[in-house]
Amino acid sequence: MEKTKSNVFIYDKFEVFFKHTDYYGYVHPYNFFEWTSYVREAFFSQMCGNFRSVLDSPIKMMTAKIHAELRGNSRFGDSIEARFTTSRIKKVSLDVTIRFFNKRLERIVCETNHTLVFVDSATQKFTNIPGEIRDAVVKYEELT
Amino acid sequence: MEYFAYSQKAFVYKYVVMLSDTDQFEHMSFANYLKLMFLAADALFVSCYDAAFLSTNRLKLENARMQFKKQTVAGDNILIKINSSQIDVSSFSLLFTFVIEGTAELVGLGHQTYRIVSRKNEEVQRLSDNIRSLLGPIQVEEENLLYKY
Repeated sequence: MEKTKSNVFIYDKFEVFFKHTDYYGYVHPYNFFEWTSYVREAFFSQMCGNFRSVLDSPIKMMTAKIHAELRGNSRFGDSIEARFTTSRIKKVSLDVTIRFFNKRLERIVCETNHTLVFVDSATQKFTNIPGEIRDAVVKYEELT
Repeated sequence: MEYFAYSQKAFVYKYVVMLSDTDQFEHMSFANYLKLMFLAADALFVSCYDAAFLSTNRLKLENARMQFKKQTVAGDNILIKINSSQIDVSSFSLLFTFVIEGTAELVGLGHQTYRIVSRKNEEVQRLSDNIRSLLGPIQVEEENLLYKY
């Protein structure tokens, strides 16, 4: 299905340093998982009006699953732009896609997809996506 | 192994969750499980990583995924069991089963697909006998397993 235009949250602060590289001089795939967590936290911090109050509440956000597809080799000194969108926003869960765009290569070098679920830590049961978060993520939902 | 539908050997890597692995929610953060998956895979292949192999070949990750079933806290002993599947001329998959030692509670399921390529030009290479000798004894058929990785 062809995707129509949707809002994309851009996180533009990734530079490749030696610590990110592997034996061969390429960015180790693990970094894309770590960067995925940074991008989503930046999104929630910046786009959810009162994210700190959500953090202080009994409602916890958990990663249920994650998938990464590696599509290219990045090297020391490269700048990586992360592009965040959402999909499949349901009552207690949503999917997040992050595409990592290498500015030197001018293409996507990795795409991660992960599912977030919300749990009430007091009852240990799934709970509704908090309003502050739902209001933010719907604006970045990929439309089909 | 009692966690699989039939008895198979697995490569096992043990890790103790440290305080430095946990975040403000007191659990190990999800990215650290992915790091453990890479550490365990490295441990499996470390005997192949001699100068001759590393100068000419590269094990290139094509994709990876993980499902998270149970959170862990500092002090938990995690066993990461690795099996191999879909061994082809130049590629293979690794299946990771994360369990708590002792209780056997399932923590997570991981999956990685690798292809061996030339370090010089990324041309696809054949799996060496050394790598096959590591993958063969832990090979399973994914469709026969209890879990879907």
